[in-house]
Amino acid sequence: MPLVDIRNVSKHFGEQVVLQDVSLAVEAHAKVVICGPSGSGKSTLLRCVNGLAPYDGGSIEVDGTLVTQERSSLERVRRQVGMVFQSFNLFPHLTVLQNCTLAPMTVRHLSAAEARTEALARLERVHVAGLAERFPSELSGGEQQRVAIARALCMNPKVLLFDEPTSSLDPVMVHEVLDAIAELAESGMTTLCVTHELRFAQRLADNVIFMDKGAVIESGPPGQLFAAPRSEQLRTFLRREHLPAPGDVGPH
Amino acid sequence: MGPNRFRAQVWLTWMLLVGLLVALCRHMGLDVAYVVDRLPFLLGLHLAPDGFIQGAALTLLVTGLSMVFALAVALLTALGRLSRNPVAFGVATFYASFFRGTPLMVQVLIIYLALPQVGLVLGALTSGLIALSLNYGAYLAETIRSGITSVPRGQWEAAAALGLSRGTTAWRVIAPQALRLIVPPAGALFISMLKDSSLVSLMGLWELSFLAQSYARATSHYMEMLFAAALIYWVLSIVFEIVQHRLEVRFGRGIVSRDATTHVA
Repeated sequence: MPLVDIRNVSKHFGEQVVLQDVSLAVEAHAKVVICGPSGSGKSTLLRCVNGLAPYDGGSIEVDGTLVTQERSSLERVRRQVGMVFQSFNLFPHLTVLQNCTLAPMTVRHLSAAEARTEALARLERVHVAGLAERFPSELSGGEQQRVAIARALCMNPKVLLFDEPTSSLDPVMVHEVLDAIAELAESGMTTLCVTHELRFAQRLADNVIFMDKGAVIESGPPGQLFAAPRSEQLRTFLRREHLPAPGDVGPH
Repeated sequence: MGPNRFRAQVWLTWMLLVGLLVALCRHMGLDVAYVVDRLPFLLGLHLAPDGFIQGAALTLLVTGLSMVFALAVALLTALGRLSRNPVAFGVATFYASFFRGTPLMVQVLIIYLALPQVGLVLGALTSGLIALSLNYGAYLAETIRSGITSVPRGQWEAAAALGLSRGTTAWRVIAPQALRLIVPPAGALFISMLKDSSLVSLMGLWELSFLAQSYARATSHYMEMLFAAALIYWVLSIVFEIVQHRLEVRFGRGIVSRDATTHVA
């Protein structure tokens, strides 16, 4: 059974269709990247997985738990699913270490010492353990995002969701964050990542989902998908994102 | 100009102004002995003839209790304002609109003088506390509401994604960030409340300004007594400001650190 099982999910804002009949199965240890133009519904889909956004049709199951807006469902699902946001969303009034120990201490009921030891190990994993006593405002964007990854890891999630994790970073910092995500994914962490970084998708993903206007248009291994896009939408998207598809000869 | 030099010159200016004030008082030939004699009463070190506390002690009691009640009322009202329940929202906005839209003195008199007409007789202290709490609660509610809504949405989402409970989210994530924005205007409100507490003298309570006036009238020492009262209010306000500043530093941790370096220049 897939770890994340999205079946025929749809969502509307009034008249507007945000997601239509989206299905996606993410197996344990899979590395899935979702890409697509802005407004394609890819972030919304991600937010439906941990219940940050409700959906109206179809079903999403995480490790066998149906995702609904019921508190019991949300509690179970969020214990399994970590999320990293585009704008980091670190708690600015807490130190890096406190950011990483708050949830383990209050949700997993770890002691302060246990939470601290675990947090330092997770921070070390993304190479920011030296910043444990700093406040988020004292860190660079790349460092903040790596702390956010460590914070999510501290809950021992079975799957990590990344919502455009590098979109608010300066170009020089994109790499350190992508490297951290790649290291995690390669160590077996199940990852579902929404990103514009097609080169990263190429490097990391074993499965790429291309979405447009709320629907999955194409999916497949990145080599195959990017080398031979079948749909006009994907061809247009690849051209815009400067990853020219073969056969496309256009001004650059 | 360096920050230290600036601060030193500010201190110097203050000292100079204080010196001028003292000189002015001496020039007027004020009866300092009279002030010293009455000071323990003004401060409330002695109980009033009816055995109740008086003077600055009563002022502080009224202000302190009203602060606590106003906070409780304001928090409920702010939650009502943020609620999707139309009744809660309606009650909260109705209350805030009435108490912000009418003078405090009229409210005091309604509670103390008009309510007995319909059979509701409240003591002077109770009336004063109710009027001050409800009036300031209405203003404070707005301050609290805007503080809470100023916390970015992403903070709620990050807390939710981590699986934090509602209580943990409210108290450990949202409240500390909201308080950073709430403390300065709330501090200003409490200082203003300290001074408005003099309105309870309308109901015959012997608080600081009432005592000062009576002593002044009794022996025509107006300048001495009113000046002494003003000075006591001033010192109390400064104490409030210091507390406010401490809280600002406390809740500004992590966020102010960057401002602090750019601020001085």
